[in-house]
Amino acid sequence: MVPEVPDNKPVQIRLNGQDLQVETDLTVADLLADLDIAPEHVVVEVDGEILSAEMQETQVLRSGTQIEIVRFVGGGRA
Amino acid sequence: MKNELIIAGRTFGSRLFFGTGKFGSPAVMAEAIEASETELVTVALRRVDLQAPAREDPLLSRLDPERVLVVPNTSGARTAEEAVRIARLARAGGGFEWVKLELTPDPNYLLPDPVETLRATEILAAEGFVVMPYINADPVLAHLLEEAGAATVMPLGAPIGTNRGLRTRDMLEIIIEQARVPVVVDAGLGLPSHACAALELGADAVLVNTAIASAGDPVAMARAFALAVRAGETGRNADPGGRRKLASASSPLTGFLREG
Repeated sequence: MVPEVPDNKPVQIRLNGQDLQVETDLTVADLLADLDIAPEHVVVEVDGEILSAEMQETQVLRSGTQIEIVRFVGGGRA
Repeated sequence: MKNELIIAGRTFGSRLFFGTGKFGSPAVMAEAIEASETELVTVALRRVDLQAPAREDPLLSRLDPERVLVVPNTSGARTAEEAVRIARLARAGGGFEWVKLELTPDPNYLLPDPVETLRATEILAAEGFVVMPYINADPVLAHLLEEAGAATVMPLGAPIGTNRGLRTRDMLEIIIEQARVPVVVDAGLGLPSHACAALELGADAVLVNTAIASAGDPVAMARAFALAVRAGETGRNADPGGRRKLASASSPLTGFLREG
């Protein structure tokens, strides 16, 4: 018998290598806003696919979603 | 050496490329970029710090795309797949078509993996990227990369961040002699004289980061590197005189104290 799942049960995602629980129906854009991250300064990859700004508005997080949020930093190493 | 440096159809007015790591503050970095007169800077891609994302200074906002070409590097990658992933992220996220390949599995000397670098170059060149691979000073590898579609080759003078200068001089000479793509000496240059010597040797450009960023006065050091690169290029183009074993007087020695 499948137990009843309440609507507000947190969704378990993996963000930048860390486990995180978020609300249901949260989009990637919502997540960025919650984290206080300006979308124009970062690149977002969801389950290995790079997400455009439009897709960030519509893509809803599900349990098991793997997200990487990266940004450009100083680098050269020479 | 040609009079103009052209890579993948783009002309560069400066032969000094600039790595943006290790600077004490973004403001100093921006000032050093200005003083260096560079037209190409490298940046890295990293995970956002989730604890303090808002406090991180957005690097790209400090760089004027009208004045400098921003080239993401793949630092941190150990395999071709990881490097390809970074390059694709940078292109999709920031529209960057150029990529500096850095595949350094060795944590002590950060030496580049030639096999993975060649594989990544093949993949990315086929996808239309302008690929600038960081390599050991290996003339055979340089040739293979050229064949694979690399836009430049970037052999090291010494291991990254060591400031030890042109330790690979003899191999660099062979690479420069044989290359049909621009040769950018990358890594290990610690003093303006090292950069000058690289240009005198015939290198098309140098990439400098640590020597500027770790100097007591990074802005002054950036200026010094700009001058050194110009001196090296000008001296090279002036066709240096030949070397000889015996002395050759530059003032006349005869006709006064003794007959001659």
